[in-house]
Amino acid sequence: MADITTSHYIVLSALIFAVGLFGVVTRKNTVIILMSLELMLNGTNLAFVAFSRHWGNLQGQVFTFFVIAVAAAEAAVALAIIIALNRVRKGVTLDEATELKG
Amino acid sequence: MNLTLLLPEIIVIVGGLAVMLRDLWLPADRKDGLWAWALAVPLIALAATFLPQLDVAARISVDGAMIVNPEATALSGSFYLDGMSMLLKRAFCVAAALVILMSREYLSELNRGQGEFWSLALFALSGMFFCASANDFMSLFVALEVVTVSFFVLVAFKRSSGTSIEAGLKLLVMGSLSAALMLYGIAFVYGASGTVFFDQVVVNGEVTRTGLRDLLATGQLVYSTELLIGVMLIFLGLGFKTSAVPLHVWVPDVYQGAPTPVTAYLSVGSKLAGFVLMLRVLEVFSRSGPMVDSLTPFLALVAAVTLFYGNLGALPQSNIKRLLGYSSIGQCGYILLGIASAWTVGISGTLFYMTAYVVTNLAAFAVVILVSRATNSHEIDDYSGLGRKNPLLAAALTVALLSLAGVPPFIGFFGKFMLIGSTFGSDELRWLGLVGMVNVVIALYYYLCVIKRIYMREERHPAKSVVPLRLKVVLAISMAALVIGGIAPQFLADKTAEIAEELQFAPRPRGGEHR
Amino acid sequence: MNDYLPVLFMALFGVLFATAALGVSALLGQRGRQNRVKNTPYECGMPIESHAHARFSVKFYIVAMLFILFDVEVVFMYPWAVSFGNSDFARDAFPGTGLLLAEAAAFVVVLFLGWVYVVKKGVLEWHQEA
Repeated sequence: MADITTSHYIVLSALIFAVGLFGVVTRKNTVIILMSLELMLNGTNLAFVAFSRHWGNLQGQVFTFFVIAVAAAEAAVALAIIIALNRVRKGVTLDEATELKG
Repeated sequence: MNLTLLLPEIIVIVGGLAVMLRDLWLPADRKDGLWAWALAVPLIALAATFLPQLDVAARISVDGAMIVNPEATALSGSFYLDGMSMLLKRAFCVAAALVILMSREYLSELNRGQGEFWSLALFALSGMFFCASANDFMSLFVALEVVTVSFFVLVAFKRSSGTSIEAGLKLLVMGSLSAALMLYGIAFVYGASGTVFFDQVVVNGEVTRTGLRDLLATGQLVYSTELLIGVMLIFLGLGFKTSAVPLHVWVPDVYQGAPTPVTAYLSVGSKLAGFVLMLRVLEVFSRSGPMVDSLTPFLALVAAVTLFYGNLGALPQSNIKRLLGYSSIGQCGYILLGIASAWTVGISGTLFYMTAYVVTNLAAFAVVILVSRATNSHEIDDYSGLGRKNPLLAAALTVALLSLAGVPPFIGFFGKFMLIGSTFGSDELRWLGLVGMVNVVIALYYYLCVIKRIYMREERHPAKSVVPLRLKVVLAISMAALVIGGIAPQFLADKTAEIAEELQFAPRPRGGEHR
Repeated sequence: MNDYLPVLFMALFGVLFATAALGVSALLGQRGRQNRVKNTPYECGMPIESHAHARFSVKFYIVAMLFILFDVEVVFMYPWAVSFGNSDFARDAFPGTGLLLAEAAAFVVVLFLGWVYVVKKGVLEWHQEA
């Protein structure tokens, strides 16, 4: 059968992205939401790397480095906010974050 | 490569680091003086933007075609300095300086974390600078995230308050989600085009790299569904920053929960960073006729829904910060009117309104800070009788709200006039102009409700607001800008028209057909 | 399909090896010698002190966050080092300038200032109460 083409990678990356998106939308535990967000970013990284191979230039791979670095910064801030939420509201699910509405 | 072009950025980053380090070695009782250090940074950066070395022609003519001047780019083409980035950088400097002046009183209530607050505000400013100058998708993404991540921390800054943390969490989840969506869109654009750069770089007369703009102009990059999906996802992600529907749901909650100076900063800084990138991306893709045809209805729909959502949502609000949150969604809708009708008048109006919005919104938030310090509340009912207690504050808030509503002779009127007028240039967007006019009326109603309370009702809180000198300065500057800009808008309007010409949006004839 | 055959073999081999190893030890091993010590996680080593789900100090999280941040920043060093070593590439990427070293130096200085901040804030002092 045919080789593994760029499309295969893109389908896989779309699936990973979709799993992450599903997790963000359906889960209530903020830590799991954070994990799902990381999954979305990793799906994107796969797409970048696949396209990078497809076009034969390095821009996509360099982009991936930046995505990884930004994701790390986001995760660090997110964990800090979740710990602070736990201190104030004694829990880490989105049910603890329903005071502001209207 | 021309590192002098980066001077304002370097000043802000070094300044932010200096404030952070200074705070570490400062004894606790002397930390109150740190605000002056923080204030100096945007002012020095503002002065640096006027250096003659930074005044480089953004475009040059080569063989009859206008191309990007290599002298105006730096960091191997990732950084681009043109009229639009210059105007926005100055607006960001003014916004940061006014916010720093407003924040001092709030920060003295915190027992620790002053240095971090100032340096994070400055790091966010550096991110906004890079947003204004981004010339490829990598710097677009990284600059936007510098702004967003700084704001995650700033919004959740009051760690003892549940609402502040909750607002931070909501911003975080929505912000990361929209960043991921935008990134996926960028991946699609990269996949369709094979480049993340917006334009070519010319070195010694030779083209060393092909960018999106050339691919689209030469027809090498054909319009495809994946490209369109990518561009739409990018606009969704940027729409989060500008509080456009559908990623707008965080706005009222975060505006209410965040510390008020941070809300003010968020409402102008982060929003304008999103808009300037929208313009940049739109300019690139306006090279392709079919792309413009597909994007215009999408942007027009988003603009219309955003307008109605923001202005109808504001009607039942009883909290002033929430009201300003919904109003900021509505204002985003007006700016999207100009972006949707992407021809020169619309872009000029967009830039005009963005600049006007900085001073208008910051004036409103400055009054909110002062009133809440006296009454300890953000309820609109507690603004009753403000006209008798603090006539000057009441007048300032009235002027700011009237300018937001678009009442002459204030600066907001002229901006709205340009934006709504731009939609009447093409037949297909005329309905959008009518939507905009209907929304002016809706918005006027809820702004007038607040003003009615200020002047017509008996006061509920006898406490008068004491206005510190710093906030007097903020109010004086913004009021002067509001009134002068309203009476003589031509100075700013000429400038924005000149920038809009320079941006090279593909011209759209009045009949609504593309070339 | 030929491309996937190695993957299939790999999976089959993994399953076979695991079954074989478990099967052999079940057949040849000495059963019946079961007592409390045998069933503990570490048969020879430390005695178990507490349950695995115990709460532990938030300091671990802070150190872990710091690790992630500084660890990930190093990711940028590698492509930089490669392109710095490959001078042709460096000349192509940054025509007419010798700024490559200065750029990396600026990056490292900013990281260093971050580290100064961390140390000065006392995050790494393990015994101090936060």
